[in-house]
Amino acid sequence: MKKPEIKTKKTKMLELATFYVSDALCGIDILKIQEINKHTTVTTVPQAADYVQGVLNLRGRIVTIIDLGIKLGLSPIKKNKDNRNIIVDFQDEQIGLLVDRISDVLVADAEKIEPAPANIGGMQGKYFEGVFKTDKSLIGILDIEEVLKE
Amino acid sequence: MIFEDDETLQMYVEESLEHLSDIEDDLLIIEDQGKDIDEELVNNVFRAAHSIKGGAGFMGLTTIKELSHNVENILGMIRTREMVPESYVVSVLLKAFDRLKDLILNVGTSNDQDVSEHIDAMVKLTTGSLPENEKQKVKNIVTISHPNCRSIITAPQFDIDQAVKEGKYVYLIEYDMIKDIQKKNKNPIEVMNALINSGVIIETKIDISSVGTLEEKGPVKLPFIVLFASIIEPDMMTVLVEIEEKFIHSITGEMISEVSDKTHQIMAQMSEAAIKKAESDSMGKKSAPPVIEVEKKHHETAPKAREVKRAQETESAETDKDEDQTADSKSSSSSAHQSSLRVNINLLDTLMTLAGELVLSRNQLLQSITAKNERAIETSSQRIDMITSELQEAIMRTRMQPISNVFNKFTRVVRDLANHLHKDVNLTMTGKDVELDKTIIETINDPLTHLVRNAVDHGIEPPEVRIKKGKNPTGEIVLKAFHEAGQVNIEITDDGKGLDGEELSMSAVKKGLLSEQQVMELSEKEKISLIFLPGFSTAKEVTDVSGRGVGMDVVKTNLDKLGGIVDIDSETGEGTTIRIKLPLTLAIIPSQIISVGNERYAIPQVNLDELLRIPAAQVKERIEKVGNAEVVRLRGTLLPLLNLAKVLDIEQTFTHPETGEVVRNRRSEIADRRSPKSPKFYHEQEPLPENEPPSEEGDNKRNRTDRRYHSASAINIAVVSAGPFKYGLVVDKLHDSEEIVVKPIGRHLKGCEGYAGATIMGDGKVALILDVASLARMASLSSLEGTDRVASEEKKNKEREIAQKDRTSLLLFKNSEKEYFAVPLNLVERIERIKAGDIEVVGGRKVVQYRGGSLPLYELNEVAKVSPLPEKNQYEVIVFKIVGKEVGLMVTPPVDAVEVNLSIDATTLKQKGIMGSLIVGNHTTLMVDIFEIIKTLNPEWFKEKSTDKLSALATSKTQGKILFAEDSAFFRSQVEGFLVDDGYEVIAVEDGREALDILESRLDEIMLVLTDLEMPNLNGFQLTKKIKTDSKLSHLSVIALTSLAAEEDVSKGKAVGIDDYQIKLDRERLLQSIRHYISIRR
Repeated sequence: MKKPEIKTKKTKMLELATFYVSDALCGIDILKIQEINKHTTVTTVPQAADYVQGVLNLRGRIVTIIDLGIKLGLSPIKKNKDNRNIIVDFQDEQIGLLVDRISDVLVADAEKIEPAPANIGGMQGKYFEGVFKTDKSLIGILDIEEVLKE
Repeated sequence: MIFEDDETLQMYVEESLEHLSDIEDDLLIIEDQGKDIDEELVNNVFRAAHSIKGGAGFMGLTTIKELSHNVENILGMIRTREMVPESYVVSVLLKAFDRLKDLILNVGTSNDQDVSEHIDAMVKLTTGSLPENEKQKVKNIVTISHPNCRSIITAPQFDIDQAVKEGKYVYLIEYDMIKDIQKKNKNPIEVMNALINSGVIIETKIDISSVGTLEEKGPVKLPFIVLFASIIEPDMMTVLVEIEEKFIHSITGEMISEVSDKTHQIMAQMSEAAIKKAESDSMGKKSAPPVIEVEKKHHETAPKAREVKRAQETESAETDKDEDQTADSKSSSSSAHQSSLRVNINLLDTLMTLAGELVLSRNQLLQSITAKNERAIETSSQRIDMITSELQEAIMRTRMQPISNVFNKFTRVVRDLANHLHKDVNLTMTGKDVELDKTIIETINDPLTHLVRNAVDHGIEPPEVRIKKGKNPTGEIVLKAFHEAGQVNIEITDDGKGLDGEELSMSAVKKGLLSEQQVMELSEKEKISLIFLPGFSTAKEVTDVSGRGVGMDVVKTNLDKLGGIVDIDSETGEGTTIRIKLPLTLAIIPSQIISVGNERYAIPQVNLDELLRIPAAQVKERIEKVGNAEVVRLRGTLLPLLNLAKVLDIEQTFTHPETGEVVRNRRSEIADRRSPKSPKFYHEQEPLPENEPPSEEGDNKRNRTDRRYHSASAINIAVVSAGPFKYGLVVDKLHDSEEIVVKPIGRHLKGCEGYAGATIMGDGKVALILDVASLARMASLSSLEGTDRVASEEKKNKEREIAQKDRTSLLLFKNSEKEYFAVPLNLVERIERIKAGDIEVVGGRKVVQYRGGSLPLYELNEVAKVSPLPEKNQYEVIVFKIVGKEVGLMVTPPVDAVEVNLSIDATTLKQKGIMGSLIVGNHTTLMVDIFEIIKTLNPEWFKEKSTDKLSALATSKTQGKILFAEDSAFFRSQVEGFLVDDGYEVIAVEDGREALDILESRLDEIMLVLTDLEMPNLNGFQLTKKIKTDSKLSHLSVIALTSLAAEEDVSKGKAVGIDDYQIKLDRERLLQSIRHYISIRR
């Protein structure tokens, strides 16, 4: 039973969309991303949790925007023109992740992904599926399920 | 085996449900008609059962088939008048149909369900009304085979006989599923329906045993055998079924043989057992041996039916519980969301056309944008606008369903429940065709059912109690639906025992839901609304009917979810009315847009009562603090205020009036004022002039006193109501009212209370929709706590008012410029303006022609020693009606109405024509005694009455006195004065307690009671109640004197038995009324 599983894993190449949250480079499997946009007209929601930046209108749908900086335990995302919302589809709901700026898309060998340590540069390890090392940097691969859990 | 084709199965389910939908009503009508059955109606129901059975047989739904088959049997007997559709028969049928519906809704598991209970009951009915030998046939299963046919089929002999009895031919039809149905591209259901239209399907069977094995030669066959009874003659059958003649076999007597093989009987065992039970129950006779007979029997059904009835009654006692359960499962299943919806083809066509239009307009728009043709862009955007509205409306219409979908089942609910509780209830329904959104229809089902059940169970009394109370033994429940103000209103009214506010509040205290203190401060209506508190159930004993742990609170929460409002009105002993207001649709709701801070919010119009803007100048007077709660005075009541910014923790802003700049609002209390004296004002406003452009420095610049009254300092309040509870929501800005589309908000915001969803505004930004009920909760301004504070404050106010004597409306005017006068407003007929030139002097008197007659005019200084009226071009004339004649009093404007506390000094400034004086708004004001003025000037008007008066005088002397209770010394002396003047003897007392004492000691002398309403110790209502409930005193007429005849008071007074209402200073009418009641007395 185990063998074929490993086999598929071996051949699996992941495409990661990478982005910066503060100075940390993170990645999400590109297949989980619906779109990336830069809407800025976010309506704040008083009373909501601090990591909820607000809601925005995405072609008629109300999308909650989560400040990934706060959610991951770093400082809030600083407002600038490079900010992007990464819209992911999570349990039939679209949710936006606000990030500082978008970086490259890179292909990662699934085999080379290592389990996440307990702490990645001040971010809790539980939010990550694993880490992927490139020549220049270390990319934390976000566990969307964990991040978006209420 | 269940037929695997999903689509066919789905079609069958939908069709069956449709068949079932009207059955209930039809059955109830059949029940009503009794012996004189409407054959068409019975046929309808019969056909429905039959189609269901037919399909079920084909799909391999054995349980459904069996159940529908038995139902069909009973209906067949009703149709042939072998059975009378009495109540117990219909009950069994209704239950069976309920079960059937249940099975069909859960078609996948239907074969595993046990329906023996229903089948037992039905078999008992059919056998009970049959003669001996036929009864045997019901349980008798026979095998039918045809010499030319490989397959055999088993069927109850009874059915075959029944068919033959009706003069039908019985056929065995051998379809080949593959060749005759599939290859001909037919739908099995269609085939079945074609058969059902022309006859009766007795039995169906898919003969797997005869399917050839692969080794066998010849084409593969899947025979589907149908035992079919029809009046169609053999030579026509081929045309009907469209298969080769050799596969249609006509069945004759000898082809039917008794089942020899025991295994064939397994299926029949259940019904067999039931028959045995029925037999032992009803007669316990041995059955005759099975006989194969095809002949008509004539028999008496009535005596047998009666016997069965008896058996049925004992049975029904046992099955009552099940009945409730099935009824429950029924309601729950029917509220399950339908996955498909029938839409009118025309409507669909309209939608299609509109969609086409939309595409065309889009093309136009794109073109004109490319061409940069502004005019064309405008035209196409207008077109798109129109199409969108039409599209919206059309799509809405597809979702609209008549409320009868919900209402119709109540006939049944009420019938069953009333039977069960031995009550007599008549249900009237109006407005069945009112349409509501599908989702709303689905969601109101449960709350409404609960309310209707409640009305039957708790509302309507048992007949014997009703008779005792002098009511019609049959209780009335009225269900009414109607449109009003863009909302759908549903009213449920019963004429039962009503709700007792006292009992409710006591129970609430006992359950620890409220403290006694809180209860004391509740109004009657609020007490009744306690029923909506969570954890409240009114029945002293929880009955199995309504007491299911589901209280009225659930009803309320459910309706709240829909944006609906429930309101309850009840009078003890008279009945209860529950009003529900629902939006037409949930998707698009009209809302008021407001803003706080930088964000806009929407308040659904349903929750909005009014918008209030308190000008800066009035803020201090109208907004007060009670404890630490802020309240606003609104038309005499105190309304708790809630600052939205504070509740949501938003920074509040206001737009600076001069610069248009948005500034943070630093008032910590609403009542704080940006007055020049307040240090806050300097903080906030002083630096601002520096920012202003120099051009504004000149004439535009306002001085400080102006600024304080500037509109920007005004407070905007949206008065909203959450159920019976009302409060004011303080917001920064009020915008327009808009129709908004409700969108759900994400899971991460579920934890935030206070929002009912979100919407997208015209500019594409998102605005949150406020949920006013949870906002109140968040601010712990929940109904009871909130009203708590306000109620205590109101109570204090009331006490203060009582202490300050009564409040009365006065009409203020001037005579000369410096003298102020007042008359009670309720004496005034109207106010006119006349030109000085129109005044004629005739016979030494001033008159003015007016409405075809002449109105005599008077001036105050004709009687009282006051300065004369200044000469002017036009005069204001106050018109009074005295002794049936209209008279005018010329005065100097302004004429103004005020409401004041009447504390009249009746001595200091009293003179002829002047009752006394009081202070109104810093002026000493003289109260004019208009009667005295007219009497002095026209003594002859009053003389006509003297004969009347003499008789009245005689009466009063011989028959007694008027007891007059009034706490205000001024009114006491006034009223006593003119009563004595008119020749009555008066005993004047200060309050109700004293009045009662007098009544006890000197009852014989008293002829009539005249009482004020608001008095210390014992008020007018209490006094009247005491008088009217005491048999010794109840013969006395009570006339109430009020200063303000409020509608509420009048109805309250009527309830305790006050005979008449009179205004304190309306001497004319009061005397008339006294005369009237005294003459009645005589």
